[in-house]
Amino acid sequence: MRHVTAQQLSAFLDGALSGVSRELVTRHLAACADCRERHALWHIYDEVLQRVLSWEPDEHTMEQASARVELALTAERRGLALPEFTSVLNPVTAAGPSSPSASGMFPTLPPLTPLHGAMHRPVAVAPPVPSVPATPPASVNIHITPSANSYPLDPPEFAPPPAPPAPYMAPVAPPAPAPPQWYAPHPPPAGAAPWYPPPAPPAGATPWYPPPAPPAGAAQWYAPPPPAGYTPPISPHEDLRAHGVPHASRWASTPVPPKQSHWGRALLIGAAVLGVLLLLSTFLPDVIRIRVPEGRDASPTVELVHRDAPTLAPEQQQRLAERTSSEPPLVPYRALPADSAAAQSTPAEVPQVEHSDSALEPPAVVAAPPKPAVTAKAHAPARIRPRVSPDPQSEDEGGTAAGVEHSTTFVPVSVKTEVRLSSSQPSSQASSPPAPAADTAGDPSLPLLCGEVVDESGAPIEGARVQVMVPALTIRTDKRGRFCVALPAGERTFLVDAAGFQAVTRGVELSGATFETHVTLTAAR
Amino acid sequence: MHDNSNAHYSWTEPGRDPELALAAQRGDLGALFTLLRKYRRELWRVCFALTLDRQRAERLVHDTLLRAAKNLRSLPTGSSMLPWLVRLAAHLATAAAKSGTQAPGAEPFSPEALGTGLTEMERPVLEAFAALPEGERLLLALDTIEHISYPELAVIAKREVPVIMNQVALIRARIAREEAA
Repeated sequence: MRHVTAQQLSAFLDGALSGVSRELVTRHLAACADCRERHALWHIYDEVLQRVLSWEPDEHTMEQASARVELALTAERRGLALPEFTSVLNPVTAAGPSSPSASGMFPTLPPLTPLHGAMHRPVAVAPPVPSVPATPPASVNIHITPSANSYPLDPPEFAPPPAPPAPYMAPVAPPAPAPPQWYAPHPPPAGAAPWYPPPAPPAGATPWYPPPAPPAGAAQWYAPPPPAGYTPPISPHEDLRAHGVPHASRWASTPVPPKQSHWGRALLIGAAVLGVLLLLSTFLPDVIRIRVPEGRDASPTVELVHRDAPTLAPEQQQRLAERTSSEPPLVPYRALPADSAAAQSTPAEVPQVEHSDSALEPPAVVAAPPKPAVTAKAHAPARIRPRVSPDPQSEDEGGTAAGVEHSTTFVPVSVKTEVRLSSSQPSSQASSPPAPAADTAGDPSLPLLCGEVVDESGAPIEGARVQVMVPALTIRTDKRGRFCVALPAGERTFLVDAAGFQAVTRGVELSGATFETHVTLTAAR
Repeated sequence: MHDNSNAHYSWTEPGRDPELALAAQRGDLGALFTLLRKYRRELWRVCFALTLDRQRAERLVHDTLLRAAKNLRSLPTGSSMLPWLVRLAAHLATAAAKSGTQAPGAEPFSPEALGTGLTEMERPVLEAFAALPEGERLLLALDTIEHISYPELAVIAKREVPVIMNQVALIRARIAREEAA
């Protein structure tokens, strides 16, 4: 018997199986004691982890911890020293026997209490041993012995199946002498409605398997389990060699394709794509020319020009060389007028795209200011120059029907995109960082508690510890003996102590922006 | 079967998280605090499962929230903050375990740190769970304690669903093996 895999069992535990997969595992677990025991153990592990690890502190502790994080972030925003981490699970204890916390002055945090229902179970007391039915149904083989552990070995779904309604108990036992072999289906689960009674087996079916297809409209269909020794028929599309059938290649109706690794398949696909690209690259044009004739009824024409095509007329090559302007022409340049050459080489025609801040506003196309004329650059990168405003002055004289039709030439050699971003706001505002929407830096609800800690002689004490009780946080004084911390407004109590000094407790009423205090520590006796 | 009563909401549903995160990135501390408080319960439970120690879990929650506030810009756009927060906590827990920056004297697993008693049967299960790497511990905790579905686990762990299913099964089998040993 093939047992269920760990993956099947795990998915079954998590309720991730459905339909046939779930039915198969359920049936197997009902029949296999080993798998049933393994399933029960895994279920117990889940229960244990859920009981022990479903812990979270109470709301008060969680609130204090959140306030501690927020104060640390506020202090960082204000440029103050970050408070030290102080556990809110344990109350702060001050050093020395005369500590105020030891005398009960500081509030003690409430004890941790579990939250979830699973946590409320008593730990030391074992739950009651589950009751095992005295007479399990004959169709389910249960061999699980309840252990001394506090968990039932059988999860609820593997308790003995509920007894079916009385009229349907009959199929468990052979109903009538004829037919002699009859495989009763499993009893339906609780609440399964309607329960479709199995049809009568065909006459003389011994053994009778597989079951017939359910009739149309049957909401629930419970197929009977296979009889002992039943082996499913081998599909003609399966690899018969996997079933140990000798000379299977002659028997298989469908040839079994040889297994191929993913790497080999990917390599083949990559090589094929590369070959196609190489083949296509020879047919790519050098120039795509779109002629836009004037007039409403005229449609633009697209012309693909291969630079080294022998059919190109010398005039066309000349114009091509002038318009591409970046690579040396195939024929020598014709002498052009200075203003014409400048008009060809200046980027004044290149539309500058301005992006506005508003997402709803489309980018505006504006004309860039003209730049000084540049002579033809032999090694400048080629650019796409869509001529959005053709200038008759700058149009070359050899252009086909200049002034009659406007042509646009795209040179797919290399593309350089220039995007100039500008803001609709004034530049002074655009350059400054965005103002915080709601900064609490000047929030009067979080005033600053600042102070100075000195000894009896007035010398500052560096590294003295200032512990605020609520919210729980700790900071230390700097070398000038000063400290500063942002706290919620209201009454606050803090404890100041340092090595070799007696601790001092202060209570302050924080309001306004800053509260200054002065603490003098006396040496410990 | 699992009692899925706890799984009443999705861990990967963004909700108002992107909006709050955007406001927090622009300097709104109120939005930042709202965002950090939103998932504190889940974060506490995850950190406790990662550390198996209440004190260390508290420290991990603190560090995770501070790190999240500082690195809010790396939150994936338009996504829920909770998976990112959980990954961050797991990363910090792993880093702390590797660098040995845990609490001084803290053992890998101390039943006393759990804050609850363990029966004789529960102890080996928890020991086997504690022996898992942080990532696997997190995965099993999210599966068994939080009852998160496999697709959501895949989103949180940034893996495919079959990989997650297989990994959860292998972790369970490993716990069973070590518990039996």
